[in-house]
Amino acid sequence: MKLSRRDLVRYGACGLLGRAAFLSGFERFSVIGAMAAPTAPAGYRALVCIFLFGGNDANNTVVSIDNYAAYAAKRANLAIAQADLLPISPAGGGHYGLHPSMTRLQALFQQGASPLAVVCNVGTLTAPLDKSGYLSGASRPYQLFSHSDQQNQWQSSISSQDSSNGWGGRMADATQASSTGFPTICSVAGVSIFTVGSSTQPIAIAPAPTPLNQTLALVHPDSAVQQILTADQNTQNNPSLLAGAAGKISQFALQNSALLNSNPVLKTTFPSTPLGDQLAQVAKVITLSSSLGLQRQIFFCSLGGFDTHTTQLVNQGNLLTQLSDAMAAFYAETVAHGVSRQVTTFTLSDFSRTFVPAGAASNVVGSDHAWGSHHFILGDSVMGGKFYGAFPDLNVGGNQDTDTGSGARGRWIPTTSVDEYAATLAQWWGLPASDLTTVFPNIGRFATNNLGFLS
Amino acid sequence: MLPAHGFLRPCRNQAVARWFAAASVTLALAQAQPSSPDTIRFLEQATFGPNAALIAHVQAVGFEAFLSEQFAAAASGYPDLPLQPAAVPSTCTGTCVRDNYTMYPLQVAFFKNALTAPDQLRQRVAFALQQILVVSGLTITHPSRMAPYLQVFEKDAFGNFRTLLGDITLNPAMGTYLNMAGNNKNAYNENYGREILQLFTVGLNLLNQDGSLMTDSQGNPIPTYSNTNVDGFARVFTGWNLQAAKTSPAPCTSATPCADYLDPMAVNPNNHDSGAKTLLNGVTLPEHTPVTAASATAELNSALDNIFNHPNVGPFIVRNLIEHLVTSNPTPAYISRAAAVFNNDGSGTRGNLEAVVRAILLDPEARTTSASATYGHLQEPVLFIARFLRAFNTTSANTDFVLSDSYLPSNLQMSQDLFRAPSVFNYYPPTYAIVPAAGITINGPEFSIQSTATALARTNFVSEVTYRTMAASSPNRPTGTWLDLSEFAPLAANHAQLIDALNTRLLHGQASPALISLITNALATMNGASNLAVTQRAVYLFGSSPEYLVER
Repeated sequence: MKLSRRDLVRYGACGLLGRAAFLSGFERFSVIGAMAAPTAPAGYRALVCIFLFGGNDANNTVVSIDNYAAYAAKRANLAIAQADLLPISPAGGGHYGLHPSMTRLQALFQQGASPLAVVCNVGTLTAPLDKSGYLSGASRPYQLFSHSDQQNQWQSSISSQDSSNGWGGRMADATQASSTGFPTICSVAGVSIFTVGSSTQPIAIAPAPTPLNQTLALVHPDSAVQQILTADQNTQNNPSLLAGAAGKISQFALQNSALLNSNPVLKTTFPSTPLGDQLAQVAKVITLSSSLGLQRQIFFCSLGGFDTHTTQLVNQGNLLTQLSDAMAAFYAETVAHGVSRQVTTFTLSDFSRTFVPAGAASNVVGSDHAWGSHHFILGDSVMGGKFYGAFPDLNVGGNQDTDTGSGARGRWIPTTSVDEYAATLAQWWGLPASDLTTVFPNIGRFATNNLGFLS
Repeated sequence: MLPAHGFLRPCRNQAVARWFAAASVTLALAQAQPSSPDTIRFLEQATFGPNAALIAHVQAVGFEAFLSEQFAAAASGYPDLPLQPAAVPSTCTGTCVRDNYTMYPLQVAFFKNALTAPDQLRQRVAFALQQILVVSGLTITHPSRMAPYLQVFEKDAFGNFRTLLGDITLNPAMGTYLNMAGNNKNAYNENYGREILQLFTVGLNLLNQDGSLMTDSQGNPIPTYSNTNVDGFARVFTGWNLQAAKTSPAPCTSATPCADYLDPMAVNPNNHDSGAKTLLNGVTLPEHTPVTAASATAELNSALDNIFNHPNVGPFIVRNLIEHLVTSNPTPAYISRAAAVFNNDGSGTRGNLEAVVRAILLDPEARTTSASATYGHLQEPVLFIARFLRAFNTTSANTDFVLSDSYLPSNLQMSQDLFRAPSVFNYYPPTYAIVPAAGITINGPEFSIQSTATALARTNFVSEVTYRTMAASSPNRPTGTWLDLSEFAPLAANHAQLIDALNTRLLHGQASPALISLITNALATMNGASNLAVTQRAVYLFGSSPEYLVER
């Protein structure tokens, strides 16, 4: 059974869609259930994705103090004063500083049994790549430096092209459906490719303080409206696939409305920010996981505004304050709720930004689109206080920079792939090893499928 | 423009081809007096929605004459708002903040124009173009700074695309939004240089005239430009900045000057990069010294000409306009016909938007009642609201139309916060793909903001505005917007007549038998209900239907 499904995936004319067709109906549950049983960890597990839209400048998020002179020389007015950096000492050695606005994440990184880890210079790759390969035309991600394409590839873990579904969605496809029909993936930040599967669909709800099911209910209930919204548009005389798709979304909202008809009380005060409101809502849904019949959940949140071509010093600072405070509040809530080992939060972003800034004066200076980035993973299953992967050498025009010569801007070629990063998260979550290559079709091209930052 | 889905593609094409093959072709001749259903459908595409008066008028004069009237109609306009100092003065609170430091007055003007203005086609095309060349009020928060940007689209909607591109490039709101303003040769940024290519003109990959991707010998898409080109354009766009801040009229003073968002940006030659630049199609602009304002401007114009003349612009812009006006899944032949008009309007002119709009709306694929299951487009929230309200001659107790009602801003709940797109990538990307059924992937841009968090906001908008009635207690009427159902209520004694009339108005007579049957059965249970109550429920049921969400 397993082999034939693999074959269908690999060779079927419809690619993933063939799998979707195959997985629909009764077979889906028997096959997946049988496959998942041997390796799946017991108990509840949830992944919480925070996507930083626009491309967060990782160069000013995590700074090498050991290499501060090179940093200050090239970053000029974009450099953060050494005295302002929040020092951290990763277990593997070296001295680094977090952006001055991330006080709460610094405290978490430095505390004993730290729940916070950093993965360094991670990015989209079709296969391991070095500078000579880059220059000689070896395979590289589709449309590097384009926001939309790089967002898509971070969310799909497939860097050779744009995809219409994401690694979160494909993990949900490979997971047994809940007894209640409530989906594995819940977004509090609208539609994203990350959440879309080929055989499963996510639910989207509004951030706090909106009641959990407010967007899922009719203001003027009318049984005929419910019938109309749930009528199948594709079986009628003049079928419309678009109307059918629209109807399904409304139908899915109505179906799940009653399941979220409560207002769980949180034990932590969340910051009243867009991201704080999203994570507060995630925390509420997590408290309902058993009544929703879910052993596995994936959440999607986002924060936009990181495309700092200018005025980065102020704008990125405000955004990273928001990120740090919201992540820390959410972590505190999982501790208070007793699920901090079962919930892991992580960041994604389009790309990092050029090491050599754009603009000169400190009130306008910013940076352009680049590539490899640093990301955070938070939770009590995280082997924290540590860096994973390799921090870039910061040599502009050097062996890790896509650029060469006097105009080089410092766009680091990633040394760890999105695939490796995502597969590590997925396996902790309970994705069976047998499904790994279905969800991450290119994982076999990289050094490892587990970076080891989760236990 | 079709998203490259790699291994999904073969399957998708076969499936879509099957649907297209099933489409029956019933050509309506644009020249003849149009039928009522096609007139209504035409007005769904060319305006913010059909109403009784427009339907009668277009049936009388025909499509061609109506288009000529619309091309000639003056822009209804966005207000010229007084520039404001950057910081909100302490004396400015409440409605002062709303009117001078938020998008509110422009949102009001938009809905007023959409609901009542005579220049419907100009407003509709301007709104489509504005969503291609995007500036967001999230960054440009003053309405007085945003209004001149919106006025560019009204002015240029039926002009030449090259004019639009030039006007937008030097518009201060765009200059600030994508950081061309203040861009300096000594440490330039790539923002405008990149996005003008990716989003406004040529797109990521080389296109055939029919919008399909050109491919290399391995079957891969061919990038339209490289980072070297982005660098070249980024350096062309150095030296410009807003003109000197204004110290009058009030509230601008020498102590609180107002940044000049009214006049086009001006160039300071000292900040312009004089080096050689590599543009598209292997064109190189030579080094030029000394730089003067004239030489920098000449270089800017050469660079914009280089973009404008790239063969991708026709299929790229045409496809985007078709998606906004007619269908998310145009056939390659439709794109090719309209792109041919972009390339040459018949008199040798490239980029004539009036000719392009005419070609898009009168094309057989727009004028045919297509049976293709992929035809049409999910109405974006703003269009959905406007079209529904216009169908019933909506009136408002005050001048702000839908915005102050308790159930609004509905467009925000529906994830389209007017003029405040999340980024330069607009509210939704033109290439967002959905998988509506196993084995079928189709384009559905507006679906990227349609989720369980937003979908029922539409149904709830319909019910709230439909069941709202005008308070009688003049002069203390509430603010608000309500439907005028007097055209339909007299028909309610005969349910079939009422249903037929609403089917005609809202769905150009195309409602499925299943929908008609559901509504018929629902109304049949309303024994003794008033004509108004029956009409309201029928409107609620039609307005809620997925068939109504998708204009086809």
